[in-house]
Amino acid sequence: MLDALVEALKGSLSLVLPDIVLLATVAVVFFGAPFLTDERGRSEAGLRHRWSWLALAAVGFSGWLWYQSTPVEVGDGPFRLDGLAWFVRGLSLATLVVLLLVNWNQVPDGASAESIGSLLAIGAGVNLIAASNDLVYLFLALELVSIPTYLFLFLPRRDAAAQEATTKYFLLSAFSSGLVLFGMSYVFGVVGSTNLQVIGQALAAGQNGPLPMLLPVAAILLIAGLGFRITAVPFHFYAPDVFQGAGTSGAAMLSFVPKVAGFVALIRLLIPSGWMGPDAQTLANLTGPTVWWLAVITMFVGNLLAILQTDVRRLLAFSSIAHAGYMLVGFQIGRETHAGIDGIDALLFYLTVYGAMSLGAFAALIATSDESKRYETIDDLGGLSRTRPAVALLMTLFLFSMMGLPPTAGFLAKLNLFFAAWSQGTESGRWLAIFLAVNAAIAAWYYLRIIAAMYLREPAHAENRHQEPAASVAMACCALVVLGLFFAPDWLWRAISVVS
Amino acid sequence: MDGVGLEAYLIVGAILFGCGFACLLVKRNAIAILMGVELLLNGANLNFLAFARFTSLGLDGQVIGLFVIVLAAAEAAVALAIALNFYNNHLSIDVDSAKELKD
Repeated sequence: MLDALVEALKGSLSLVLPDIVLLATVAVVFFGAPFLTDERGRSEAGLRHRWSWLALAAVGFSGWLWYQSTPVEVGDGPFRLDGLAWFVRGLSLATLVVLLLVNWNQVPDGASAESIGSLLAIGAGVNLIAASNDLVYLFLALELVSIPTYLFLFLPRRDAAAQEATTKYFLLSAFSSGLVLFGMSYVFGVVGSTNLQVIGQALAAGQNGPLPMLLPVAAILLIAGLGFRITAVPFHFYAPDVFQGAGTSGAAMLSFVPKVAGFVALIRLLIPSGWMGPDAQTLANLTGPTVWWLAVITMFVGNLLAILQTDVRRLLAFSSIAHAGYMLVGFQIGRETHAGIDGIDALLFYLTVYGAMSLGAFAALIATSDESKRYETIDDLGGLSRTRPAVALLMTLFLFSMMGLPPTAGFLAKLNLFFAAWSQGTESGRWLAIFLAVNAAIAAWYYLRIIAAMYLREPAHAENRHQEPAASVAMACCALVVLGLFFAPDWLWRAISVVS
Repeated sequence: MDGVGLEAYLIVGAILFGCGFACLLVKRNAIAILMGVELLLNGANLNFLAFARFTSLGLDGQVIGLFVIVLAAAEAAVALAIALNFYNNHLSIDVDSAKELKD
């Protein structure tokens, strides 16, 4: 009996090998850092380069292990390596590389080890969310993302604004974990299992245990709790403040990583793997039109409030809320399309493209700022085309992609979501597609305002020659993805086709 | 034990959840808000334990309970460090005293 359990445990560990590499590196970094800093928290100059290179090497090794792995049949163990887990792991490792580059010069040397360690832990957490096959592991993985996030937001800057941002994010994120856990406790009790695979099958077969009326409550709680992570309206209100107050690398991370975590957890919990037919009971269709309304409200509120903003970070925060709304459209459509594009596939495509354009835009902000002053408002970006032509050009590319204009991947991503919603064949799906198109048009206004400021105004600041090589590399990588996926989207579709 | 059923435990769990929620909405003190979060987590924990006791789930629920307790402790450790720094900056842990960020 015990031998069999040990064998099963060994078997499941091999499914999460890349994440173990990341977490081992986190342990080394956290353990080694105190020996290299003095009592006042300072350390020799240039230490951050060495930690960053170590982290890049760990991510590279983890990526090599990921590349060698192939999806396997889902067992009844605590972990799984199905298509979604495989895809999300690749996405999050690529994100880690970009974030390490973006974060390179943002943290003082003395705090760099902790910052980089938190970042690796966040990446491992995202991987484990996708790889978990059990409610307990899913919850722990969600916390493995959120607790290091507090540190990551807190370390780069210690002024009042950054602290306010961290405190706000911490209190709301802890609250949202509470909601998720409470929802999970009802699912656990009613269905009578902690295994996600078993839960999905039991729900589809309609085998409810005691008190089945708790299931819709549980689904609402899960959507609300994870809605905080993906910044869906009405759970979005912290985002603008936190984006504005936190350091730029923190804001870049927050714009993308929690969205991956939230959407993957939502897919795992609400849409069980293995398509079971349109009439099978899932937690998603127990909630009725909740997600539909969430998607519509999120799109409109995000875009309409973004028009009013003058601070670039706040604007990008509202734009990230609006993008969460677009992705919720894909989630609402789910796997129910009769013809054409699957909603979840379109969501994953959009998520990947959104990651490239959003991280790219924040990398551009880092590349423009010099050490003494960061660029805060749209006026600060005025005339950027003359002082930093290359950065302005790439920023324009990312903004074009966010608008959904060709020749960028953002165009294809929006088109996929539109077709997925339209071809679902229901009236509510058509309305979603129409609202999506309307919102894409509204959004163009505020993105164009930034582009106009960069190209048509006189330079707001004297020429600055401050170079951020790491951030520039990150920006170039993101630009390559945004352009490359427009001309060769098949490359990403092949990876996504593993999922379903 | 005979007189107390599953529903009674679930109702207490829901009340704890409600108290935690109210705490988050009403309190302005960062530590008090943190206590509200603990109430939320413990309400959920009580549910897990009640389901473990009254259905065939057995140990599963209790193990989750242990995990959540450890996790709440880890979260509190980070939270108190953040609260301490907040106090150093504002000489108060009233969250309304932080007004740097607004439109």
